[in-house]
Amino acid sequence: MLFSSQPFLLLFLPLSLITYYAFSQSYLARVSVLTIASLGFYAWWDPRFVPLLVAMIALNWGIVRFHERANKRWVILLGVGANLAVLGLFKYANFFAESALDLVGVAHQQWSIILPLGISFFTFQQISYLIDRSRGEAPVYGFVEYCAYVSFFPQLIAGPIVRHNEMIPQFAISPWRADLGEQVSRGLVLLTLGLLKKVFFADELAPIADDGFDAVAVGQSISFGSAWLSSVAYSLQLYFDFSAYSDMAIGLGALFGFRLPVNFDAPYRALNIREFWRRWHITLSNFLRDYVYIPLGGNRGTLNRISLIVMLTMLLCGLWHGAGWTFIAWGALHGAAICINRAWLKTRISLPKSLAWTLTIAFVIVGWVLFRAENFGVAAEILSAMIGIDGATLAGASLDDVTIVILGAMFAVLGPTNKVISESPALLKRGYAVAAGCGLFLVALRVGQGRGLEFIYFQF
Amino acid sequence: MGSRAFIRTFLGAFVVLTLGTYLLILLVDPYCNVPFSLPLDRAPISTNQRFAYPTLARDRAFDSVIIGSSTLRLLNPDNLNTALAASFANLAMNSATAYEQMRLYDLFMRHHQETKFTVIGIDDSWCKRESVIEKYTFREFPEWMYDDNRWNDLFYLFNDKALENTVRLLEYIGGARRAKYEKNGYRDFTVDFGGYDRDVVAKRLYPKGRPSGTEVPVIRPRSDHPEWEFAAHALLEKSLREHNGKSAQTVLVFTPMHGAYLVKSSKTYTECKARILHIASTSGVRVLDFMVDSTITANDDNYWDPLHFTSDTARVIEGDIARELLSPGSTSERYLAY
Repeated sequence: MLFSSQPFLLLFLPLSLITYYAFSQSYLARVSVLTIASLGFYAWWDPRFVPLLVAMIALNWGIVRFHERANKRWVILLGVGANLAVLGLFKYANFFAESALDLVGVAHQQWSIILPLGISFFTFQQISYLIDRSRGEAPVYGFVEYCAYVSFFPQLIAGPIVRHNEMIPQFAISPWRADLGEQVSRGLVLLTLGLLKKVFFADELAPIADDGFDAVAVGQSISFGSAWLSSVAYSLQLYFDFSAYSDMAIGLGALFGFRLPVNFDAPYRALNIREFWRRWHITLSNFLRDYVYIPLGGNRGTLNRISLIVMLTMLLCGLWHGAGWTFIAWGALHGAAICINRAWLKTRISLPKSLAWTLTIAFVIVGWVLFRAENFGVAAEILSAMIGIDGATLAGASLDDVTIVILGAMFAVLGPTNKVISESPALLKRGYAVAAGCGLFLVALRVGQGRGLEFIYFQF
Repeated sequence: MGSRAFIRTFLGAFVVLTLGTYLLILLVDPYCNVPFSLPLDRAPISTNQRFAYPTLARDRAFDSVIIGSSTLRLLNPDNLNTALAASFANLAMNSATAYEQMRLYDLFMRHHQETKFTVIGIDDSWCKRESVIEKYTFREFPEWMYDDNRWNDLFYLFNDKALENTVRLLEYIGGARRAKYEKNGYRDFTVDFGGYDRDVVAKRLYPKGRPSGTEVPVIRPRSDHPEWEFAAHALLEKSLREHNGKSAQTVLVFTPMHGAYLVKSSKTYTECKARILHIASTSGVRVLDFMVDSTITANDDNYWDPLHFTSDTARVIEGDIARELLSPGSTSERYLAY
């Protein structure tokens, strides 16, 4: 079930919270409640994938236990390989087969493989645990707490990618701490702000973005104005959608007394591409840094060598986002931009902030066109229109849509982040409590039609 | 303010607003499907007919019904009532798919065991060559309103659309708003179009320019392509088999689309017509075919666009349908009767 749905907001969440706090005095009981609630949450989407999730959890936990006794590195390598194999089977099998057969000119009949929700997230989470274990940086956890960690429903489907050492130690601490009330208050506000952002921003921008991309996909032409409008709308939709989900996840975690890591920090204010990646999907960036980039050599070596490692890391980043060449190309584009940025830094020339911001945001928007387009043809068509190959006409861009996009852009670039609002020292006032309660009511009312769009990042 | 007071205030605001709004919607009951709502003078208030018409389909005050898409919207129940001494509801819905039409027909017939007249419009929606039926349009279709359990509808009524229609209904009751549709489902939608402009209409009828001469094809029912699939036809066959016995007279009406439009798909209509006639004959149902070369289909002035005839034309068609229902076998150059 979606966070932005009435069954979740009016039934599942209240019941889960009441049950959790009713059993909160006992460590085993409260962790078990979390696990059962999380598996129920996952089963609501599609019960067929619950056995896979449980099996993956059991497998990884078993591997760590076996490694504890055998103390052999190959056990961990085998575990990482098994995780990647499962991810490869469900997410990439068709893509790899199609690409391989393309090379020999044979058409691939798509295998009927359904992608289990959130598999990229919970697989990466478990891989990080295995690697940390092999490095001697992680203890062996009990099965129940490990199960609760991986399946914890606020972050199960679309992150943030929470590390074991960020989450499991919190299980041991009773939620009844002196600051629980404040944490829950701020969690309620963050959850509400995330829901508002999803329902009233991301979902409103979605049709504007879809109009342009869908039209090109079915062979229609697109004007300069419409191409920019759709591309900017999609850039904003993606940000509002994904950051809203992270806000909700962090807010929900707080309602249970947990602190989850920050995942977004106003990325569209970045003045260069490396800063963008320090602000966008922070937990993924950290994962790639710690488990791919640094083990491959990191910042050591010549600029060429570092650039090679950056490119490899970003190609993997692209592939993680989707099984398609456009995603890989998007990763390569960002990798190249990071390399150029590193080389630029050596010149010690600094651009005016406004120019740096304009270049960065323009690059990011162009990148999202590749990310969103169904194929290279659609991306090329939209990018051609954006550079005005067929003239710079604004035809097709309605004033209403332009207004919505400008408002969204101002909010994304200039407005405070939900995290800043929810952590404001001045938050705990009656007026804000009433406003937040009204906000949650508006969301509950709005999502009652069953017309809510799904979160974009669920597909990754 | 302490955090406990903050949480209490937050939850208080949320709960009071949620329960208060939900109670208001349930008591005012904008779609007339709450078993315990207030006894108010309601009218079809939702702009989406898929939400507005189920209550009319359940209304025992009607003994006759018009089912179809926008192509039959202009048939005025009052005129048919006068001519046939019946009580008609016009439940033809804009852009209704064949599936949606049959859902409404089924609902009406489940609530009316003895019906005088049933008129079902056969137009584009029934002549799509497809192997799997496309059930819905972009307009939301509330399946939950089309079952016989009104209690499960309560789960679907806490939303902003229901609240909007609640306010509209209160405005209607207070005299500040007119209902979207009359209480028999009819509405002359052409009043929204402004005045009749022959040049504008001509552009709609002939988007690629007017061809020389009049080209109304004679579409005779003939099955030349038994391999073609019309997925919607199975629905019609099933519903007629199930419900036709409850209606004293049922007539399928091929709507009079403009000749220039028929030219484009004459082969499809020829095959479609043959299939529909077969279903009609096996179900014991009569057919009035206005989809022919006639003074209606050949005259541009009878149309707003290729699919929709004018109100004046609607009066002529009402007369023809009424005459055929009263005296089966009447003949006219405007239609063929089977």
